[in-house]
Amino acid sequence: MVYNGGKPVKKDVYILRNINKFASVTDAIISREFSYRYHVLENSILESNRFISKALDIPLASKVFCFEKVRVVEDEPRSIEKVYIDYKKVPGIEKLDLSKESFYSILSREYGIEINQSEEEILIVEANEKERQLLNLKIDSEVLLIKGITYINNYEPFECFEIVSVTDFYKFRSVLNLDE
Amino acid sequence: MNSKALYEQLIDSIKKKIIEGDYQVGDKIMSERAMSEMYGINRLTVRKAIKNLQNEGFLRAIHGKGTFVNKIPEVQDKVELGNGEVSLSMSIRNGGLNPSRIVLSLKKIDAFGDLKEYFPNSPQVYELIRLSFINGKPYAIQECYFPCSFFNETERFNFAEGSLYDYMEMHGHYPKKIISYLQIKDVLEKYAQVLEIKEGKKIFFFKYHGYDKEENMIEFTLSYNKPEFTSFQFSTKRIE
Repeated sequence: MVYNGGKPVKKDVYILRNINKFASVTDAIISREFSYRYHVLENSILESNRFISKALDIPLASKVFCFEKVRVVEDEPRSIEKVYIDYKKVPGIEKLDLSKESFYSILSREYGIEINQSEEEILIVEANEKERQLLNLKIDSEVLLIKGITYINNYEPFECFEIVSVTDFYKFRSVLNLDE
Repeated sequence: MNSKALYEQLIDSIKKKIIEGDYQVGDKIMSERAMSEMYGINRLTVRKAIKNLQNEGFLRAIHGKGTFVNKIPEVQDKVELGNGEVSLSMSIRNGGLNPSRIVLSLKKIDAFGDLKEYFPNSPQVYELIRLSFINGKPYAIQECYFPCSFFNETERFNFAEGSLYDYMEMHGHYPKKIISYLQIKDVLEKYAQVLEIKEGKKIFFFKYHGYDKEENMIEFTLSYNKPEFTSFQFSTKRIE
């Protein structure tokens, strides 16, 4: 623990994601005993554009649930997370309180939905103005962009997402076993 | 299952053949009928793919003669790492880009810091520092450390052209397990200039730990990759 103006500040606030295994980010935060809360930016039903339709394998202009939040960990904003889900799979979700617990826990409890796998891509990009404001970043700051699709049974696309994170919040680990 | 439409898959396949040199500029490509029969797809689907490639300027139809390669598509400017890729150079090759590499230094040094713990039976280790290029532009620096207790005769191997794992295999210690870590860091001051990147800019920083079949650690590598050439892709699965 270090101190900033008398206030205790935890050092090294990051989570280690094992990329061989799908796991909830919130669970990783809880396992490291970090405090966390969410600030919901958007919770609405929209019509899918062609990119979302392609990712979710649904017709153009289908109803999709759009949810965007800022993840605050140890009192600092760490990431902005946006997801799109085919609304047919999560009817009424916009009426639920999604601000207090893991999104995947809510999906499991309310809809019996379990994410089985994901395909993700990580990039480093310049933060835009909105991201700089929400994440308290300076001009010219870079951010980690994680985008991908999660899947439920039979490799059915469930959700497409984008996470914009401060660069030191995520670390990744993988184990590769090579065959003979 | 490939989610792309058949004509898009055919477009990708023809582009790949042009990029990889199976088709040269000026070569005549297979006829619509031949492709239709070969791939078991409708001729209209083939026509749609060819029309798209003509519109993009990669193919050119000459009336009464056939369809010819007109220009080479731009290769993708991102390198995919992860997902079963073993070495950096292998990833670049698979990305269809033109990689090259130079050795900045190769020497025997006394193990220091964590290296003493990683290679407890090897007071000395080889330090190999290489700079990789993509299409002539600096792309990544790798610092590789491997123990002198298992390896020797490094001077006989061309590390600019050959892969470290080829060298290791020749010496009977091929990595069977690789644990890698990725995080985002500021570029190191000492590498900013050679990577042609401003100090303070972010880079992908990889650490690789390689183990042979007896679980001996045989490689420790630090890799600094420029973001404009790197997109790290991976898949996860739920493990109960």
